Amino acid sequence: MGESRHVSSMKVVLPGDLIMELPVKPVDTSENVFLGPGLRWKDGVVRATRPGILKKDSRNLYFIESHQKRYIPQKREFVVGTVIKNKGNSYLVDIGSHEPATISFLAFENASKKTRKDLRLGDLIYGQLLVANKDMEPELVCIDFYNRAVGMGTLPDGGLLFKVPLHVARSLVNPSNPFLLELGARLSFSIVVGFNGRVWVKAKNMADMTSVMHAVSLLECMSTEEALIKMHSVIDSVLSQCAVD
Amino acid sequence: MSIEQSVQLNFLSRADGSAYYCLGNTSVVASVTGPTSGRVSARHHNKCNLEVQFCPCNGQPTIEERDVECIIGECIEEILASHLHPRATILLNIQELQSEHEHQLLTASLNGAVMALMDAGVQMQGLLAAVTCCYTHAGVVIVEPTALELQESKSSLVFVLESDTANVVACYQQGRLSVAEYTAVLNRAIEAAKEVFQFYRSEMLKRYSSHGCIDGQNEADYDYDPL
Repeated sequence: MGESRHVSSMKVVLPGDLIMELPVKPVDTSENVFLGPGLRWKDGVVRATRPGILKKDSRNLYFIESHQKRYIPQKREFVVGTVIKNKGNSYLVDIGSHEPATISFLAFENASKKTRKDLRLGDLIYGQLLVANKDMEPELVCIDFYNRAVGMGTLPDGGLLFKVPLHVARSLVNPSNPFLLELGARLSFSIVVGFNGRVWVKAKNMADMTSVMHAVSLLECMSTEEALIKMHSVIDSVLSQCAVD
Repeated sequence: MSIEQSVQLNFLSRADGSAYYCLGNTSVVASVTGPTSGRVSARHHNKCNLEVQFCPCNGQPTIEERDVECIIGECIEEILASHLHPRATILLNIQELQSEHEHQLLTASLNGAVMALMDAGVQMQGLLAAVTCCYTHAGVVIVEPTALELQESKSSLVFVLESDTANVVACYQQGRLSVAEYTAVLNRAIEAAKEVFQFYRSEMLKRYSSHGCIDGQNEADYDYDPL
């Protein structure tokens, strides 16, 4: 992880809104502007392409924080996917994008042609996108640069997978987000959050997993502060319901 | 514009984006799914394919509904940043719930579709607004007229205007007008379209400020991995 950067929200923008004029490339590199998701530079002007909040960080990186449900693959993002097809040397993995991603059977820790990784259809994979390009099908790997798994790989049986909007997934992986800390203080569980909006939870019993799912789903329609207040009553009602059943 | 408009975004839970849009006595539900994988035969190698489905509130879709689908589809393609999703398909479903006149229905469908696309976060180069106008026999221009006024008018028109330049993307007209009369109607439509764009903006402001991220509370420091 890099150094901490200050991100400031500027305003709500709509597609087609003029953000700034950038006619020529600045000579001085300190004046460079970086354009993140939701912004496009065309004919010397920068325009928004998505509705959302325009944000800027301390090194002139502008981006739009928008609410979306459909995942568009981005290189180096961590995703949770489902194996849907065995293609001999590779597997097809559904990650929620318009094309399924491929993963080579060699792209796992300690996997070789002799000790190949066997995946079954329906297995869940937590991996990183190695190739994400609009003209090519996305490619997943479960190893890093040094052939280590670093937490990636197939997810064990007995967990619970559910989907959340992408902005919820992004806020959950933020290490300073108080929501998961508070949830972790209440229940014990392991959670894997993919940037594609798929969340995998495993806990001792189904009741705990269901209450985590309902608590996380609160973030879909309320802010973190509101969800922190509401969370305990939701968990209580799910747990009491499960105790009755 | 005297007519009242209202919208409920994220109306459907399973769609990627949806809007329940009411314009006066006309109401539609528009939903967007995509970019998804679509029919192989409809794939383009350099851009995404937009499929529009229009369902009337009763009966099967007929040739008139196909006409509306074509008009909406060609207008939306003008603003969609379709080159960003080659080989993908964007599905746009519009369900009519209530309407009195076909012109008002076209206007509401197009505005609802644009709001659903914004809700889905589909990348677009601009926005569109549709406005219904009519020119009466007495020479009066009425913006967003009632169904009766539309029937009694000399000419009735639907303008589809672009947000940035206020250029006309499409015009659907019934009845003849002279150039001067047409320009008078167009100028009123451009004024009315500004109110529609203002409505889009206020709805998006409502949606994004409800998450407490705009007034500076959420200016959190967080780790950003530049790689």
